[in-house]
Amino acid sequence: MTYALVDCNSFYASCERVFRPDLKDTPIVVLSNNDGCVVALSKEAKNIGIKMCEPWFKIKNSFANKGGVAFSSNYELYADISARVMQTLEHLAPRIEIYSIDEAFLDLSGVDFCTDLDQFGHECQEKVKRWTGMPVRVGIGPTKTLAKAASYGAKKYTATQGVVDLSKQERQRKLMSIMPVEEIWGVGSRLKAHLNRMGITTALDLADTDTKLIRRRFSIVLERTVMELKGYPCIGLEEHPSTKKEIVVSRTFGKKVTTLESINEAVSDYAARASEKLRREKQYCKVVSVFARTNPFRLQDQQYSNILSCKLSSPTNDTRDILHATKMLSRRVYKKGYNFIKAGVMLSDFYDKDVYQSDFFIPNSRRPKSERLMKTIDKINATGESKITFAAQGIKKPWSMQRHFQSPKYTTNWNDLLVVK
Amino acid sequence: MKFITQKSEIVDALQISAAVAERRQTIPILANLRIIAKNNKIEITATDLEIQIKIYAKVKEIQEEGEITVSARKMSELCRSLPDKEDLEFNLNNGKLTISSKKFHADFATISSSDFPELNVSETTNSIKISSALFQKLLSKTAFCMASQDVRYYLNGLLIEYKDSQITSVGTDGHRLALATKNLNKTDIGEEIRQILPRKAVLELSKILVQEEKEINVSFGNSYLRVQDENLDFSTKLIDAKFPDYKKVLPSGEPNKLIILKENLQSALNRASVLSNEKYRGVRFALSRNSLKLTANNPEQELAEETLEVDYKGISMEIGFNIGYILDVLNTIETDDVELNFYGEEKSCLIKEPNNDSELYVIMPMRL
Repeated sequence: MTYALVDCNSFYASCERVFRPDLKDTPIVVLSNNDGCVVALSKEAKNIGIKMCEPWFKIKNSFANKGGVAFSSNYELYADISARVMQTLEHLAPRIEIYSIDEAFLDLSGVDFCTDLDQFGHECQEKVKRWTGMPVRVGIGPTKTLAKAASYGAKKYTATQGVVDLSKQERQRKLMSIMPVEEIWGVGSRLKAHLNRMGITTALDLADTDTKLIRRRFSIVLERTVMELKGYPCIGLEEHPSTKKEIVVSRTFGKKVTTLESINEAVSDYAARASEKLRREKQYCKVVSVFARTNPFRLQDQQYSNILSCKLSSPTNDTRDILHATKMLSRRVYKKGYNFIKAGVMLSDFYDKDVYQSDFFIPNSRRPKSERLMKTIDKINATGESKITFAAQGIKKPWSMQRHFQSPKYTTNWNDLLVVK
Repeated sequence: MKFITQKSEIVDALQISAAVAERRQTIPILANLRIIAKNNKIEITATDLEIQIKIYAKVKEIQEEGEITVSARKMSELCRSLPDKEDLEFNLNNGKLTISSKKFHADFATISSSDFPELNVSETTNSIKISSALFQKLLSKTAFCMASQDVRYYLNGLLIEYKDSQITSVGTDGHRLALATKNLNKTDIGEEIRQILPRKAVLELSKILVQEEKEINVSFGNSYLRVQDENLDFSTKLIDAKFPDYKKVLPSGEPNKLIILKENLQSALNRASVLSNEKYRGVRFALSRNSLKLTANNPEQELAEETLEVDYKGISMEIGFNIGYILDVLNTIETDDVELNFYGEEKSCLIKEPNNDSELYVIMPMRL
C-alpha cells in the first residue's frame, strides 16, 4: 500500500488569502465565533509571536501595529474552498478519504509503479495551487500513520519544500528518530506522559516497542498505531464517511440573553440549522435535546446550565416537527433571572430513510409532502443565506453572533462576487 | 433475638428477598432485610416501597424472640457461601447480629426494625384462588413483551384482567404484544378486574412462584395486588393508569396462514441475524406459495438469504420484522409447529401455537 496525506497549509488563513493576494506576506489571524480568540493563524502571524487560542482583546492593538489583518471566521467560504480542494484531489487519485476540512488521504496504490512519488507530491501541490489557490503539503508513506508522519516532516523542515516521501524504510527511521512521540497521529499529550515514563520519547522508540506490551499496557488502538509505524497497514481508507451519530448546533450569543423569547428564537434557529444538516445526512432522528448555560467566566452572575431531551413518537427530519420539540424543551430549560450566554440543539438516535418500526398505539404521523417541502426549502436556501426561515427563528436576531471582520462569501453568494474594476 | 437454623432452611428466602431490596437505595434501610423471630418461625421481609416480599422460614429453635434489619446483599451472599448442613446461630447482641457456626463467626451492622417501612396492604376487595403454576405461566408467557422505561409508563408493566372466571395477562411495548388467557372454572367473583402490575413485580413474581399445582391466593385491592401462600406474602403497588385497549390491536380479517416447524424458523432467523443491521435487527419475509424467503442485510453491504419450505397458501407479500421480536415469541411457543398469520404488508402479524387461541402474540411490522 502507498498513502499520501495532503494537508492544507494554515487552511483558514490561506482561504482568506485566496481572494486577497495582496495579503501574501501579511500576518493573518482568524477569530472564533463572536471574535473571541484566535483559532487559526498564518506562518507570518506565528513569526511575530501570536499563539493559538489567544484572546483577541489582548492582542488587538499590537497585532494591528505590526501590520496584521484579522478575520472573523467565515465557515461558508472555508467549506467551499475545502470542497474545491477535495475535488481537485479526486482528479489525482482514484480513491480518497476526506479526513477533515483541510486534509485528505489518497490511495496511491499503482501510482508508485508509473511515477516517482516525490515528483507526484510536487505535481499535486502545483495542481491544487493552480486550481484552487490553496498551498498544500504532501506526506507519503506505506501506512496512513507514516503518511501523517511524513506530512509532519514536510511542515517542520522547509528544505523538503512541502513534500516528504517515506516509502523507504531508512527514511522512515531517520524522520522518526527526530520526531517527538506526541506528534504521531493518535498519540496525544495524555499518552505522551505515560509513554515518556516508559522511556519512549521519539516516534522511533514507539515503532521499536513490542506490540504485545503496548496492547497490554494501553489498547488495541495504540497497538495499531505501532504496527502502522512499523510499516504494516492496519487502518484502511474510509471512502464513505460513516453516518453521524448525532448533530449538535450551538452558538455563543453576541450578547447576554435573558428573555424566553430570545432563547426560543435562538434555539429555533439552531434547530432549523440542525434539521438541515440531518437532511443532508439523509437521516431521521428520534431524540431531540436542548441545552443552555450562563457564562462561567462572569463570576458576578448566578450560574445555571441545563440540558433536556425528548423522544419523538416517530423518526423525523422535518424542521416543523423538530421545532415543535425544541420549543417545548426550551421553555423548560429556560429560567428567569439568569444571563444566558450559550444555547444549543442536539439531534440523536438516527434512523435511515425508510426504516420504521410501527407502533400499535402511535399512528405513523409523517406529515404529507414533508419530504418535498423540506427539499424545496433546502434548495432555495442553498443558493445563499437563509432565504426561507420559520417565523420562530426570529427576524432581527439581536442575540446572533458578532462577526466584525468577516470577509465576503466570495464563492457562495452572488452579491459577494469580486468585481473587476 | 436468638435462633438456630440450617443454611438450607434460610438461604432461598434470603436470596429471593434480597432481589427485592434495593441495591442503590435512597433510604439506607431499604437495602436491608427485616428478620423477625417469633412463634417458632422466622419472617424475612424486603421492600423497595413499591413491592414487598415476606417469606416465612422454619428454624430449629428460637431461644429469644425479636426483630432486626441487616444488609440484604451481604446476608444473602454470606449464607450462600456457608456449608450446607451446619447449624447456624443468629444472635442479636449490642446492636450487632452475629452469625456463628462451629468454626465461623461474623458480625453484621444493623438498623432498628422500628424504622422499617412496611407497606400497608390491608384494603383487599376481592380475591381468587389459583394454582401457582398457572399464575406463573400467565406471567412468564407475556412478561417478555412489557416495555421498560417507556414514557408511556403504563406499558412498563403487565395488565391482569379478570372477567367471567377467565384471567388474562397482556404485555406490550407498543411494537409487540403477548396475551395469555386461562379459565378458572371454580371461581367467579362477579366483578371485572383490570390492574397493571409494575415490571419489577412481574419479573420477581415469575421467579418466585413455584411451577407446582399448589394453590395460591391472589387478592386485588384498589391500589395493591397481593399473592399469598403458607410461606409467602408478596404485595405490589399497581400502576395507576388506563391500559390501552389491547383488543383493538389484535388483527382482524381473513389471515394468510403459514405453518412451519418452529426449530427450522428459529435457526434460519438466528443465521439471518448475524448479518442484519445491528441497530434495527430487521429481517424481510418474502412469502409465496409454500415458500418463505428470509433476507437480512447491514450497512456493510453484507447479506444473508435463505428459502424455507413452509405450508402457505396465502397471497404473495413482503413484510419486515425485528428478528429479536420473532425469536422471543418462538422461544415461548411450546409446540413443534408454529402458526404465523399475515394480514397484509403494512399490518401486524399474529403468531400462535396451532389450535391454541389462549396464547396470542402480535408483532408490528418494520418498514425496511
